[in-house]
Amino acid sequence: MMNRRTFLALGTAAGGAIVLGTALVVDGYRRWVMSVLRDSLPGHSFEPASLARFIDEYESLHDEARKFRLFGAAETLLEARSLLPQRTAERIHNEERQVLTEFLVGSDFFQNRPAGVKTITYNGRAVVCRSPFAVFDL
Amino acid sequence: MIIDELPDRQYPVVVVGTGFGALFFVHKLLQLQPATKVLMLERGPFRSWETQVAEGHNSHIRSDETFKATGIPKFWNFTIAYGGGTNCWGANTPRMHPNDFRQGTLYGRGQDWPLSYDDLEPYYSAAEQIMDISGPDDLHRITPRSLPYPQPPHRLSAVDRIMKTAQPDMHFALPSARSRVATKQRPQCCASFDCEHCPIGAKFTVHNGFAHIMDATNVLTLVEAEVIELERSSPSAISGVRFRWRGREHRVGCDVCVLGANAIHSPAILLRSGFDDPLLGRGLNEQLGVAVEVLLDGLDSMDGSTISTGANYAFYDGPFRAERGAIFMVFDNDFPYGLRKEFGRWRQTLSIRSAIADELNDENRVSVNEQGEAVVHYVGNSAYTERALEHYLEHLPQVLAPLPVERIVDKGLRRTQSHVQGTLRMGARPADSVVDDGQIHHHVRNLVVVGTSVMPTCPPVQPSLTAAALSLRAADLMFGAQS
Ligand SMILES: Cc1cc2nc3c(=O)[nH]c(=O)nc-3n(C[C@H](O)[C@H](O)[C@H](O)COP(=O)(O)OP(=O)(O)OC[C@H]3O[C@@H](n4cnc5c(N)ncnc54)[C@H](O)[C@@H]3O)c2cc1C
Ligand code: SF4
Repeated sequence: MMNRRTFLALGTAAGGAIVLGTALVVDGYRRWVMSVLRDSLPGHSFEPASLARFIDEYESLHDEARKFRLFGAAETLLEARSLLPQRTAERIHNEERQVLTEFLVGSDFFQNRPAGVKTITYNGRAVVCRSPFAVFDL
Repeated sequence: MIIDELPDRQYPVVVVGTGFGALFFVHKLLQLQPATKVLMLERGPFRSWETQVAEGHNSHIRSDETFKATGIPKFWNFTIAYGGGTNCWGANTPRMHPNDFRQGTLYGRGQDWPLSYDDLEPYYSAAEQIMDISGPDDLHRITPRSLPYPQPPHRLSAVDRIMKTAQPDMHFALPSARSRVATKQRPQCCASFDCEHCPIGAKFTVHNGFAHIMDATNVLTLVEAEVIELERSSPSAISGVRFRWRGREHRVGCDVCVLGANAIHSPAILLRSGFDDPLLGRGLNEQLGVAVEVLLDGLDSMDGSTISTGANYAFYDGPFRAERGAIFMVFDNDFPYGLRKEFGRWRQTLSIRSAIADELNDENRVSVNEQGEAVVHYVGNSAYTERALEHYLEHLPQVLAPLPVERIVDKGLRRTQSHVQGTLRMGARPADSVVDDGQIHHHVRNLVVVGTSVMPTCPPVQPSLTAAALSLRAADLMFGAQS
């Protein structure tokens, strides 16, 4: 039978694992978002404070992002992509596109970035006149 | 004028609902008889546009909370609020094809409308003027018109320009009530891509388009007033309307009743009122929506001027409609699936959303349960629609042949087109319809039904411009010189 001391010790270990796990998941998600951006935008760097803001904003606005937290952690920890079924891999690809899109249209990537500057700054979620490509000439 | 107290006991005209059908009817009535007293009873709340944008929804009442459902689960999307669907709509405004009105005669599918395209044409033009529609005049080749579009067409995207060159008689700029140029009421659409809650107010809504109805002192509107039933003084006349307001039931008398509570709630009101027309509530429908993403090889697009820029008629009309449904294709200029991930190829993608006409099935219907709640029974769309879907997916590559297509990705069926139609269809005879060609009930002659519930078939195009034109015509027939 489990005595009180063993029970407490196990409890502390489990609690610690949860805290550590949560930290890994949150941190893993951030790293996953960063890896999506880095892979898609080779040769560019990201203004750190604005990147942090983007990740916070994105995560809070998109339900899907929450579902991706765990995956994000797993992906960065285990390099798990090749093991996934095709539909899941597609979902991840789609989510990567959404992350990249929200970042780019909310940043100075397409507009207002001085020539030659390789650091991308996220300015906040694009809501009004969202398309960087639209042309309005009559 | 929005009122905050019980109205008088009797009005010449009582209107149920404040959506497309209701507003365009009242607009025409005020043109013809500016002093007529009108009472509008609206189930939903009044929500300013600013509130809708700030809160990110058009109404706190979800459409699926307003009725029960049996059969195959299906989402029916509409807005319960002052202005109805003028709030949530995407503002795409193609006209119906002339042959849509003669589907029965031409293709042996469904019934003919009791009016022709030519009968409706002047009212289409009038509705387009009221909403300041942007569109291309060469669309005249498909849907002839007596007046030019009030606004120039939206700028085509690179994809559209290629399609237009290759298929000049099939590919056109999509008509829309999203401003191409600023008007007194609306700024120019600037491609924000959230038309349900357009952050700049560039599309037509009740708020920017019908302020004169809101301001008219002889048009009173009571919001959060849910109409329960219509009272009849004789088998052929409505004498009053019963409604629930602030937890209590009330009655108001009327000479004419205009019913525009949408294609689920209008039939429910008539059923609760004891109407027993054979086709009442039957034939609820909307188009089947299908989405694809086309990955483009080396073509940068999305340089059009609004969210959706192209309309393609390649699968729309022809003898094939005897076998399979017509399809209306909308070419988007936004990126619902995101930009592409490959560096520099961000906008080499095209979203196409197509709508396939359904064939009315009387088993798709609205009834009311013992508590008087609307109940939707849905058994699915027709084989006629399924055949069109199959054909579409197989032959789409041929239509897109002018484009450098890398791959077409099937994004599946859309859960709704947000078009609720049928259930109080118009026709020549009581045996095949509920209302006549003037939208007056066949037997109850002071009851006019407005909105998309009167549509006797399901054309593939978006229905609101047609509902608007029909209302202008119905009001003209009832109150104009011809009445
Ligand atoms: C997201 C979305 C996008 C759309 N996009 C387009 C588009 O691009 N183009 C297009 O043509 N159409 C579009 N539509 C469809 C369009 O909104 C409808 O076709 C149109 O609103 C139908 O008009 P109606 O008058 O029949 O009903 P509605 O406009 O829905 O009006 C019905 C009114 O009756 C009220 N009501 C309901 N029950 C009661 C009751 N018991 N008592 C009192 N009042 C009641 C409702 O609150 C509402 O105000 C879209 C719809 C949605 C939701
Ligand atoms: S595309 Fe944008 S600006 Fe234009 S109507 Fe829609 S949300 Fe408004």
